[in-house]
Amino acid sequence: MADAASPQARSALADVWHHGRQGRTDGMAGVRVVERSDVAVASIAARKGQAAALATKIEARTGLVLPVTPRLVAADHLSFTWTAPGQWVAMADGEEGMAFADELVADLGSLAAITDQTDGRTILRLSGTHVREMLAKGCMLDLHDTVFKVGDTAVTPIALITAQITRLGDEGSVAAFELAVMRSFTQSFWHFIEVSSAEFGLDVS
Amino acid sequence: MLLIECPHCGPRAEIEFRCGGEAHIARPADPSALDDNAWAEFLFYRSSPKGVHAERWNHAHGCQRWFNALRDTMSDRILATYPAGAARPNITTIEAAR
Ligand SMILES: [Zn+2]
Repeated sequence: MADAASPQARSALADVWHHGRQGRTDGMAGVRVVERSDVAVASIAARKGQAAALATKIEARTGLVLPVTPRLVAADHLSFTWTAPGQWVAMADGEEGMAFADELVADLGSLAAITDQTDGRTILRLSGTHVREMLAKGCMLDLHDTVFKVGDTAVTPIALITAQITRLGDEGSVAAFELAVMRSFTQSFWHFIEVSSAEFGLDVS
Repeated sequence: MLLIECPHCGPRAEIEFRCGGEAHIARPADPSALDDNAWAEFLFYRSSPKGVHAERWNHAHGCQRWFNALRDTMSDRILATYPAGAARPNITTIEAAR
């Protein structure tokens, strides 16, 4: 835990979002959103010609096989998400950002450039019976289950803001997605979520 | 909406991409050996065919990678996309792409 003199992590949504129910108030909320804040994030870019060696080392350490297509691999508290050829985002639940990045650098620094992104991104989990209809207002991808399958991921503009969208497993019986945007775009992105979800009812928790 | 197949990400909307002009233009190995005319040709002279044209495209709002595309300049149809460095597919007419 940080001492009194250290800056505290602060959500980029702190000034704009209101917990509870928004938009349409009757019936169940069609969209549910949760900020994922207790997570360390680091970007990984394989050094020239080192992608295979990097994958081998990561598999030996974690048992996870780095995806070479737009996919997510996850186990326990750790995940790797493809972002571009030779590039991934690593996420670790409940870890401190700099410590996680330092640990990766110590392990993999000769094979990849690794940068802490924990405070650089806002990560939201969206689910609900109407989450696809809501996302369709700003996302150009076909998010149907037969096309964008569980574990699929994409870097694509949503409401003209570059975002990474990943199809998570279902929550209950409804689809869940994880969306990551750069921190400085968070408030604009949040505006899109609020207004696009209003007709379905939005539950913020 | 025109869909363009990024070789890395799959089909995406046209607005995610940026066109970078004619493809397969090799930088001369020894520029200092060229006369002004040859250097100008490398820098500025481009073909502008009516029909199938090989172009460089960048997936600017996705994986950010450059790749090449064969586009029919009359219909604006993209006939094929392929990674940078790969040979141009042997498609010279729109009929051949079908
Ligand atoms: Zn791409």
